[in-house]
Amino acid sequence: MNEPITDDSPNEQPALLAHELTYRYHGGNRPALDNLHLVVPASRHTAIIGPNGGGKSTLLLHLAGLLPNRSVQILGRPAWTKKNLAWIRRHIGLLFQNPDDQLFMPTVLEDVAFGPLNFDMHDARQVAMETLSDMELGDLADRPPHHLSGGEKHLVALAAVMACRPKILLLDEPTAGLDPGSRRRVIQRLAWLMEQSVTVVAATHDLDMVHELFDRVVLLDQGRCRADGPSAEILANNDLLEASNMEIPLSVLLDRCRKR
Amino acid sequence: MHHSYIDHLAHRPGILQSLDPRGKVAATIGYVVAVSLTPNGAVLRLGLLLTLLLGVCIASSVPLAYAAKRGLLVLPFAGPVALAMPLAQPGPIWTTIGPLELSRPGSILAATIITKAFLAATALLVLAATTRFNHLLAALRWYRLPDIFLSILAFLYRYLFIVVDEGQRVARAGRTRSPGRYRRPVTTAAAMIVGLVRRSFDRAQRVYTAMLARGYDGTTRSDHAQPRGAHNLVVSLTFGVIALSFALSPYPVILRWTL
Ligand SMILES: Nc1ncnc2c1ncn2[C@@H]1O[C@H](COP(=O)(O)OP(=O)(O)O)[C@@H](O)[C@H]1O
Ligand SMILES: [Mg+2]
Repeated sequence: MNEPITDDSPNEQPALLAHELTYRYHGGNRPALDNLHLVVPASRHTAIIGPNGGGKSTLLLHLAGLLPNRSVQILGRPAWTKKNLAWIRRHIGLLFQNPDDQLFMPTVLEDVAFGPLNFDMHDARQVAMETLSDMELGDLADRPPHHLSGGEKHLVALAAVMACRPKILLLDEPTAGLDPGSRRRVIQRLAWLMEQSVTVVAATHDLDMVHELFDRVVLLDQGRCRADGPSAEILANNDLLEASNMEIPLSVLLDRCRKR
Repeated sequence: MHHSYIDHLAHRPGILQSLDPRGKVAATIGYVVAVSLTPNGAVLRLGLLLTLLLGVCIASSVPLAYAAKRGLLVLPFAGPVALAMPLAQPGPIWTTIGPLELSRPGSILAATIITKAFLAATALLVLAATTRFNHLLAALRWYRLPDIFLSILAFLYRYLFIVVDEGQRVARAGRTRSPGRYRRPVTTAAAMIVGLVRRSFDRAQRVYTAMLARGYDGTTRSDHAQPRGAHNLVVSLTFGVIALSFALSPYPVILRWTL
């Protein structure tokens, strides 16, 4: 189980690669990431699951080039030099776990346009407005982000990342705190992005979503990779999930009943 | 959650809001110079400057109470200096409070200092309140202010609301855990403030990381349709020149009348 999944076609450049990645926060008594191996092929959508404090958010920060580290390669470039990092950030989008950290402009529209403006995209404001309408958030455009509800903030933060049109989309708990309707919209949006051949990597506790969207699962516990394989296999493994504070999602059980 | 961005009046319709920010900066500097060059005790001039400010506030739908309250924030800085004056300045005695003898020139000087500080601060705050912060930065950049200075301003602006936000959270958490009119011991208050500083610092760091993730490279970009144009610039420059000449020229005798 501990063997990392390698690419089906070995010639293809992995989208993301972490090799013996160890990271310790300042003052942390144990490493948040412990000698981690991870290969994400561009054609696979990967869900990172695991208990709280397992290291999911820390891993995503590394994979986005925000905690620069020589052990990480993103789209074939080491996430290390300043030049590489600027290039990498142009192609990678990260949805932060806490939208309050991500929304800082005076209005929703300006916040969504922040990335496109920085990346010198043509017609940044237009792109921002379109992204908001696509996600049925057009009404919020002129509101100050800090006056929105938790779920609205979350959706706006997601729109702000999508407006940058990244090749690889990293999501830290994309469905946490959403009402069922909004969750459904996010899932549909992600499915659409996957069809557009955007590589999606999500850290999540929403195993039903994993079952629906992702073909591959990495289980992270105490900064180590506990399991790495096809989602159908891992989501059906009760012992494995229970050992890490999780349980088989209802949608998997339902499918099982249907098959009988 | 209620906290005000300093430029929250910039979205209202009004004269100040529609002017070219570059002209507004010039006019404000002219006004501040005019205030600071006002001689001691020149009541009429101070009155005129105050009227000018009031007029601009009313024409730009800036609530007067709001402007006055913000302007009074300079008192902790100007106040102590001013209050020492009636005692320090020699001259005829105006009045006595207990053992303290307040001199007449000193008291006039104190009143002038406070009024001038109030007017100058209010003018700057009105400028900041009625100009989108991005536009203000762009105007300052047009005046060739160094980029690093502008970045610091931009960050101050962003982090100001982070501190307020974290402060409200800490206060709310404290309230829910202490029902009734519970008076916080000083040590708890101190611990809360230390916690607040640390939280704000951590949060500011995460916000900065989030900015990096979306391509922030040290320059603030804006594509806002700024109110600009020659006509607009001329209007505000004229305003600035009038204010300046008001300060520098040999004005009519009546304006020189002092206490
Ligand atoms: N800013 C930080 N400073 C110190 N320790 C941290 C910080 N962020 C996370 N950690 C620690 O690192 C470990 C992994 O955290 P995280 O990556 O957030 O886990 P997850 O996202 O899986 O819940 C946890 O033990 C957490 O306490
Ligand atoms: Mg997390």
